Amino acid sequence: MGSLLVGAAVAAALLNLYGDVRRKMTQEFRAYGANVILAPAVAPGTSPGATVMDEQVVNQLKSGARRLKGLTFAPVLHVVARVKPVPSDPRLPEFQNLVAVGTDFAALRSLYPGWRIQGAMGNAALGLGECVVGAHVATRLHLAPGGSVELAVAGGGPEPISASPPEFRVAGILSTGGAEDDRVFLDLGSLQRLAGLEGKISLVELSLPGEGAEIERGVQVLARTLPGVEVRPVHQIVESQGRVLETIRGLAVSLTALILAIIGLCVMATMTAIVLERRKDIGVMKALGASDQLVMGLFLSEGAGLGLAGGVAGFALGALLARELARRLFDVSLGLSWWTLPLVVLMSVLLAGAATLLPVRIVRGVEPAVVLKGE
Amino acid sequence: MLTRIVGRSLTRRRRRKLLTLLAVTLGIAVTTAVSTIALDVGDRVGRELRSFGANIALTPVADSLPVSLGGTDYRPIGAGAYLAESDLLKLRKIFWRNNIMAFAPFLDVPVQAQGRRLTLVGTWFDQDLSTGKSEAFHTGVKSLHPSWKVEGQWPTDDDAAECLVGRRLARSLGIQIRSSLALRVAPGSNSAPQSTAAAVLAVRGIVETGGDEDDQIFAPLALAQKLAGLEGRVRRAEVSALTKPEDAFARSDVTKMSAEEFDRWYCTPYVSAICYQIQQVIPAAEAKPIYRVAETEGRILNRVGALMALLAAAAMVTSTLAVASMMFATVLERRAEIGLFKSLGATDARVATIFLLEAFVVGLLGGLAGYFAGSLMAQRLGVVVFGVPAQINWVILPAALVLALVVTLAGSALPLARGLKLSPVAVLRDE
Repeated sequence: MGSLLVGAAVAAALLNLYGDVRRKMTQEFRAYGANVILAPAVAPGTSPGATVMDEQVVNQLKSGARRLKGLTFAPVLHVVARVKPVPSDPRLPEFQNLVAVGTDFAALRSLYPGWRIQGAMGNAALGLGECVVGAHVATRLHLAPGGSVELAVAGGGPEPISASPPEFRVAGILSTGGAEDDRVFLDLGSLQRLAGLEGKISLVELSLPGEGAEIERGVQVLARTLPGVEVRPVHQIVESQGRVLETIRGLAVSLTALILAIIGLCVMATMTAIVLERRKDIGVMKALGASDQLVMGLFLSEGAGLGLAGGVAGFALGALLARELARRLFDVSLGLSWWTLPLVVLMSVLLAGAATLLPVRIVRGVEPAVVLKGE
Repeated sequence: MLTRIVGRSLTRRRRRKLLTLLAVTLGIAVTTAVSTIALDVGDRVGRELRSFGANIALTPVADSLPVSLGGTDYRPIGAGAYLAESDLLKLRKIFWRNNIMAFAPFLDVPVQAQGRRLTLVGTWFDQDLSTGKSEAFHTGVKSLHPSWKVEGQWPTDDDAAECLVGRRLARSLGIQIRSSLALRVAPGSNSAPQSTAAAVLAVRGIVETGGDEDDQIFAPLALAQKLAGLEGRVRRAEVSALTKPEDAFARSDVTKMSAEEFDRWYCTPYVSAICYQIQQVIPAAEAKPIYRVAETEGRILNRVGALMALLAAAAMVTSTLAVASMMFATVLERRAEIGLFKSLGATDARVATIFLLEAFVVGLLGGLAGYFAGSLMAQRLGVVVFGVPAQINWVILPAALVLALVVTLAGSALPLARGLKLSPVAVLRDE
């Protein structure tokens, strides 16, 4: 009984945890960043780097976000710009050509929680006159949070840009280790106005929740609802995630199977003890004319009953355990998943029944005369 | 006398004894298997996670800012600083060199093809860096980015005129596998001695990644260097290293560490420590962790570790319980023997010694057999789950033995105490 209880508790805890741990793991994987990119479809013969598309895509995404739960995305506009620190420093190059990124910075941050930002801006969105500069840009132009830069969009040719380019306050310094270190981030609207590209964006970075197959489905849904837009999954992320989750799942399943096998063994030992201990009762029953089948059925139903009781108690204990573990190890708060109750109880009953099958064979060997005589 | 009793008892009822031994073996085997896998899993999952690509970026310290958009670098060739290609070999000399899974250099060359400005990226595809005496080491984008999908073939690494073309670019230029691509270095590259350097490349394959690479052309590094007139130079490099998840200690300020703390930090494969070591051997480079990869990886590894610890604990508890209950049953069965011993004048201590000695032998044998069976099981399991057998861990052996002994002894002590309390007369008559 005790072993069954523990067994059912472990199984219930694992089952309860499993779904949530999976969800938590997929969530962790999302920190790798966008797994789908929406870009303008390339017509043959156009330069792919410089194309833009209509901002309307974002509105369509917003209405679609209700259907695809947990979807996060950030529109991005890339423009080559010319940046100059204010006040200008004679020791430095007069200006610096770099890529300016107009975006919803708070949304982009939530896509890439691994990015490190220096400066007191927290998770706030970028204000109108604010910008975030990449770490390389900051070292190159000797910028610190609180400083200012002038930013002008280089309009294709060498002709001078507007006479007094607008100034932006440096709200933070971004360190990512990637290409973002060489860029400047602005509010999307400000950059659109500066570049004369009102209502245009270069691409949308998108993070679809779920695993491989779900993401593939999401990609198809997006491709259908957004004509004229190229929806491309980032293979590196989508596939690697699937592979790693597959590995973890295989591991969890095989280890749980091993644990269940051990529990079966445990129940078997207990039932053997029970049957042996009651050899005399068996002898009496058989002497009174009970068939082997009847006595065996008795023990089997006792085993199943034990399984039932152990399963229910184990479920309660396991659910509590899972809640505690989930909070401590995975910091998720876990709701009771009632669907696991019938599963755990059924499993416990079946396991107890199966494990009783072998020990009840002892019943057959019990000779009433021998047992009752006292030897 | 004592040894004879125990010896006889062990050899007489063989079937029963073998069953007990089997139970102990199985219980310890499962515990061993789960712990072996749990100890191995960090390393394995770490390797799987490396398919997310590089987690360390190497750039020249004195570089100017790249102006790259949609995979095209708008900087002229001469601008900015470079790394020496030969320096990269030093990556194989750092303290944690065995944790470096792959690395590849990159040199972006602005080129013109079919009247369009494009980027040709020179890199290693699968470069052989084996040094005579040490083991073979191949590296390049093929091992750095295992998730890149290449249709057709990978180009070779000598300066043959071959290339890979990004999927999007191939579509917009109308290029197919085995067609050829004529290109020349974009003008305005003042440092290139012959600014009209041109080449015709055979397209060996089409690459699809979903990222900027879809708009680029990949060629052997040597070829790109020759085209740009930058022999022996590379713009940047990416490194994929196995790391330990960063903890609070890893985040503390390196400059404020005591000598002892510094040693500990230096000798732990934190991504920051590996970056530090890379900068030590290649002072001209700035090595930076790619945070989104490095941090996410650390968090996932921590989660997997917690999950494994949980499973290992569950397996340990259940198998301990199983073995203990088995022992409980076997000793309970032999109450009559206890009564007989006592009625023949054996003291309680004597009887206990006999039974515990038996349990000790069973526990020792079962523990040993269980350890080896469990290691075998772990190897099989490793092949199924990871495709590689799990590493056998000798540290587990003493732990398995101690566990086996504790479990068998405790499992027999309880029913023994109960059996000793009963009066021999009652036991012998009753049964």
